[in-house]
Parts: sequence; structure tokens; C-alpha cells
Amino acid sequence: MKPESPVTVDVRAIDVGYFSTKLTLGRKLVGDNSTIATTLFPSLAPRLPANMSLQTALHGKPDGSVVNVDDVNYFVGRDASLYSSGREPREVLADYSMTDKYHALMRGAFHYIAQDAKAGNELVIRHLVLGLPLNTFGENRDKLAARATGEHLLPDPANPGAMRRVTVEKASVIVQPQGALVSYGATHSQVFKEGWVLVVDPGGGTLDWYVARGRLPNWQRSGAYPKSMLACAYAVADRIDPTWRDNFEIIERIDKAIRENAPSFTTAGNVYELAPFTSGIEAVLKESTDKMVARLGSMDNLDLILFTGGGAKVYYEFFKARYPKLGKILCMDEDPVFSNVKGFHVAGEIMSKPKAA
Amino acid sequence: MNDASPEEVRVRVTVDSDTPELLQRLAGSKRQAREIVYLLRLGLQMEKMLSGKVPMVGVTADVGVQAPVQASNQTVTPVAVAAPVAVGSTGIPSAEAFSEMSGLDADYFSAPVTYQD
Repeated sequence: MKPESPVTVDVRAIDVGYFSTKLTLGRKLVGDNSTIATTLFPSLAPRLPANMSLQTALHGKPDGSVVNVDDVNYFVGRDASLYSSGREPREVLADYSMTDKYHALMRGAFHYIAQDAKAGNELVIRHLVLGLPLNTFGENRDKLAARATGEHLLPDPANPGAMRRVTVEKASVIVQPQGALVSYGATHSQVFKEGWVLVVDPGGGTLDWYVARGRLPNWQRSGAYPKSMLACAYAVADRIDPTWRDNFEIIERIDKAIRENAPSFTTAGNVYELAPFTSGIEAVLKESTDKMVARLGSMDNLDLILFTGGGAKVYYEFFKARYPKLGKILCMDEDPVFSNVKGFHVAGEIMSKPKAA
Repeated sequence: MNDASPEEVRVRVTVDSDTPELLQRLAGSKRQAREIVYLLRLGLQMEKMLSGKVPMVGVTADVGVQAPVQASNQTVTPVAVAAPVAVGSTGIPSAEAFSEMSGLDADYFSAPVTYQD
């Protein structure tokens, strides 16, 4: 059989979060605009039984892929919940990016990148960009880049029993909120020229913040704190039934209700009002915000505060109520879920540009 | 187009520098004019889809469509998107344009991070 030629894509980016894994699918034309296409899937990686074959696991063509990490098979993708035991705890770990689950989710993203590129049994990604929170960046940047670089084998959906090889030629890791700032800068380029900017990025696991003046970051005022939206949902779950922490679907329902400022959420046919749990949620918001403000020092010299990430609206509203005098400089990201990963992609394009002689 | 003689038809094609595959494809093509016309037709087809004049056959996202530019060794195929695509309301400039207007370069992302918890 004639071997297929590899499909090569230039830059792709992946943002592995606690709730969802976001990825880019390259530039697409929409009307006259060149935009960066994105997609996501839940950050679930249920472990498959050791005796389950690939053919069995992939029977019925579920949306996703089986990936192998350290001789353990995981199912990752939009249909991951079909393989879940119902107990999928999401613990916020300092070394999340070094876990097998993170690696499995990254390979799940490769599956969707290959699918979009219509790759056969071979895909080459010239430059992959990932992000890390600031509090683990220094320790894990090189390790994560090394783990992402090289060959990854996934099942080839077109040829049952055969494998598809994804080769990452180069991987870079950048500070997570830099991605959102780059996305915002695509339409507001003045943020890189003057004034102090604070990017507030509440994700599932960590609250990240990044301070810069023009193109120069201030690392002393930037930081991350390992309590954010997941901790808010846990604050509600712990009061009702602490075992819900391990049930990803209930946690997601609570999280959605908090993010959408809904009056209640429903599970197992029971409706739970959120109002009795507001103080618990606000305690988490206060704790994480206080950590940020303490690190920031004074906020009076800031010129723009950009809220991004899955919890952007929740933190924006909390911040606005708590610091009304900053109201004029608060700004909500237009695309908070995907802005980080789009910024990673642009960063990859800039890093891949040939240097001027 | 039937009665347009080559002397009277001028087509100016701007190729984004972030799509080197397209540049290679056009430069390496034996019949560049045919290649350009094909891409223009795809562009018109997409425009009709986006303006609702023709149905978005094979497109699963609300507004997302795959560009007619494929990886370097692929043939150009009709529009089809495999996965839902979220698209912002505004375009994102190419890396060159972005670098020029923002002043960012590769050093911005690879500068040493002097952060201590």
C-alpha cells in the first residue's frame, strides 16, 4: 500500500483547562476577515478498562479518541462522558500540566486538529503553543514543552486497528493571560504602547493575573492563586452533598448557574436555589481577589483592567461592586473562553516568523 | 468572462503572508490563472453561503466555514467543517500586521520570567 504523505500545519495552540480544553484549527476566512477557528471539548479523560480493545472502545464512532499515556488508555473528546464512571474528580493540582490526564487531553486536541486538517495517518504540527499559569510557569515550562514535542500515536479513525502519527516539531509555552492580552491587542493595539494593563483571568482551577506596561511585563505584580470558579462550585456542592465534588456533571451545572447568574440549578429532578449559597461563593471570590490585590499593591495607576477566562463575568461583576471607583477602566473580553488560545496561536505565528536579517 | 480577452482582464491577487502554502501552490501551479479562478469561485460560493443566499451544506457551525486554503499537500475541496467553529466578530490580523501595529516580536513571549511566589 502506498504510504500517505503527511499533512503539515504551521501553527496550532491548545489551552488545557480544568473545565474544558480549547484548541485552534488555523486561520479561516469569514467574509473579508481572517480569523482563527477554535473548538473545545470537556476536560474529562475517563480511564478505559485494561481489557477493553480499541475497536470496542471506538465502536459506534464516538466523538473523540482513545489515547494512550503510560500504557493506560483514556477516552478524550466530546463524548467522554459516555465512558465515565460518574466519578471524575477535578482536583486543582500545582503540577496539573505534568499529569497523565493533561497529557491525554492534549492528545485529544491533536485528534481534533488532525480531523480538521483532514490528515490521514500522519500529521505534522510545525509549532504548537501551550499556556501555563504564572505560579507553575517557571517550574514546568521546559518540561511541558519537552513532553509535547515529538511523536504522538492516536488511533486512525479511517483505518480501524491502524494508528495515526502526530509529530510536533516545536512546542512553546507562554504565560496564560498573555494569550488574552494578545487577542485583545489584535483590535486594541494601543495596549502594547502605553499605560498599565491588568489582565484578570479566572479559569476553572486558578485565578491568574498579569500586569504590563506597554510591552514590558511586571512579574512582581503578576501572579496566580489556585482558587477560582471550581472552588466557587465546590463551595455550593460542599453545603449540599460533599460527594458531588467528584461528579463532574453536577459541578458543571452549578458552575453554569454561577456563571450565568441563574437563580437555581437542577439535578436529579430537584431544584436548588443559589441564593442560600451566595455567601460561600462570595467568600471564594473575596479570598482570591484579595490575594490578587495584595500582590498588585496599588491599583490607582492602572489604565485598563481586562477580564477574560470562563469566570470573567463573575469576577467582573464582583470587582465592579467592590471597587466602584475603577468602573471606568474595567473591560470585559468579547470572547473570554477562547481569547487565551487565540492569543497563543498569534504568539506561535509571531515566534515562527523568520527573523529579519 | 466569455468575451473578455486576456489583454483586457487584470486580476490583482493579494496573498496573505501567513498562508505560505497558498503562495507555494500558486507559484508551483502550471495553470495559475485557472487556480486563481477556482479560488475566486470558492470565495464567491462562501460569500453566498454567509449571506444566506445558498444553504450551508456540510457546515456544522453557525457562521464558521473552512477557508479554501488547505495544507500544502492537499487538494482544494468544497467547503466542509468537521467540528463546531467559534468565530469572533472581528478578524485577527496576520502575524506580520500584528507585529507591525503592536511592536511585539518573538522576544516578548520568550523573555525570561522573573516571577517568585
